Amino acid sequence: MKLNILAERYRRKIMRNWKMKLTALFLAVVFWVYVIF
Amino acid sequence: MDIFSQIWSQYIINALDILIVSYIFYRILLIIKGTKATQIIFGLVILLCVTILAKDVVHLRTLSWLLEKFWVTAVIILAVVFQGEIRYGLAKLGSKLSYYNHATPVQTSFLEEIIEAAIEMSKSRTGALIVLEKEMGLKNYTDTGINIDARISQELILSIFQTKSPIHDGAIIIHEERLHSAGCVLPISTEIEVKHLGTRHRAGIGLSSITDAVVLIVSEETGKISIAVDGEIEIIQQSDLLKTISKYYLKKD
Repeated sequence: MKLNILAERYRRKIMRNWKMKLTALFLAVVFWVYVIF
Repeated sequence: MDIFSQIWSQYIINALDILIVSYIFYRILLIIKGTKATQIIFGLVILLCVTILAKDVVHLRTLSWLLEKFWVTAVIILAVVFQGEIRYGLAKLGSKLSYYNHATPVQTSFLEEIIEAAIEMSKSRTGALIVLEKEMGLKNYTDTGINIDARISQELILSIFQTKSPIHDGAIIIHEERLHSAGCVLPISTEIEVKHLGTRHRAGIGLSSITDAVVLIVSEETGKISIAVDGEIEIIQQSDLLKTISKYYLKKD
């Protein structure tokens, strides 16, 4: 039961602000591609 | 062993590289979100696109010369324009490092004012909803209320939440130790487990589940004081208020 609560808390933490996290990841990938090639 | 080193050098190290850079971008986005920097960066991106277009696609010589000259001095311009954000970002980084060293004393005087107001409202059964902004910007929600931008005091909070006040029905948002806005509308949690709670409590849970903000709620019905963090709500005894709020407010993600 405690593990479930903990898992739910971390799931919320990861999902929170997901749009911004995805944008940052996208920018990092673009930047990486630009630097590599 | 050879395969492992090949995988390491080809995939894992690159993935790690991207993840670290994306984390840096994420922190930058968090700092600039909701500030005037957002519009400036948007303007710069447009200018960058125009530069690329003028130089490599349409070959407009004079325009691209002008824009190139701009980009040479852009570093200085950016440093001046983003002076506030850079200072804020570095201060945050410094405070983060010193947090682990337990070196900086923590400013809690504004928290004490909030707590005293909450206790007062709890005694008079006045409903209140107080949001403490942390690292995530809450511009979307501050925009729904009235901008106040005032030093926090117990009297100010009490006068906002007195039932005759036209802005008593929303939340107040505390941003960088100042009362930023009042009468703000928060997202209400639709989870079934919290259906029995009132709108004020559900709004507190709703906001705390999608942001890292700490929400203090004073119940109008019972006068009990609760705190919502990470989508969970707990009733706090008056004697533990400062300790609990400080713990959640100063906790870094």
